[in-house]
Amino acid sequence: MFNLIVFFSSFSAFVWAGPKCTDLSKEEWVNQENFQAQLIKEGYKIKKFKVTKGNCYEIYGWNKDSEKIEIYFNPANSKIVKQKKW
Amino acid sequence: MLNKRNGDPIKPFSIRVLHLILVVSLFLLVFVFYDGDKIHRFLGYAPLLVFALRSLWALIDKNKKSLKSLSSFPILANLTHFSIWFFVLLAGLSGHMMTIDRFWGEDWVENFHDYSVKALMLLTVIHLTGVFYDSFRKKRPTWRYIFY
Ligand code: HEM
Repeated sequence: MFNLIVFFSSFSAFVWAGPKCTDLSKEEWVNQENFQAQLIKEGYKIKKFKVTKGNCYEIYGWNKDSEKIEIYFNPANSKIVKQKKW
Repeated sequence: MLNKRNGDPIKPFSIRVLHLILVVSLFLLVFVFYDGDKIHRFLGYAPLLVFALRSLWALIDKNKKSLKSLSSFPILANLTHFSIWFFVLLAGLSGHMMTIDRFWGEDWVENFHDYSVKALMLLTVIHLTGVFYDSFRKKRPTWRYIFY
């Protein structure tokens, strides 16, 4: 039983995990507030901001065309790594 | 209604079909289209639909034999089946919640979905263990009766 739990936990950690965005340490990341402020300036509406286990900045929200989006960014250079449209 | 073939109790056709749809859709949701993308959000409703149809069947089926049937541990088996339906419901419900703006992106809803699915996977293993144990103990191909 214990083995099963370990198996499922590690399975989900590897298989279901979101993208990995950078190996750089947190000191080299763009400041979180500045990052979000920049997105808002570009026309994004942010519903939820997260720092993921895979070292990404992730937002749930709407882009400037009011499309519902979920985007993973590289926190070191603010580039989009992965985007889910709804 | 319980079909018999060479003395083997075989599940009614509609139940076998629903079970197959459940198995295939869960497999695809968990191992292939797990990313919450469009395909997942469409396919995610299949298990709920199966549950609805299966419940309907249970309600209109007067011959209770098809519900009791095969297990050598009826109580444990029923408990497992009941739990499986329960977590199918929870997984489907939490999945649907993630599409509602208000709950979208909330950690607790995502964890809810995540852990319902993990519970479902664990129950599936228990379910399979039970079926194969019955096959072994009674020396009959129990696992086959739900397929053909
Ligand atoms: C019983 C049916 C379902 C099963 C077995 C299932 C399974 C899964 C699994 C394994 C994941 C990955 C977990 C993770 O990323 O941590 C997932 C994520 C997701 N599921 Fe489902 N799901 C089901 C139903 C649904 C439904 C009905 C919807 C919505 C219509 C849905 C929407 C989502 C979304 C949006 C994600 C991504 C979550 C995120 O981005 O973090 N699911 N599901």
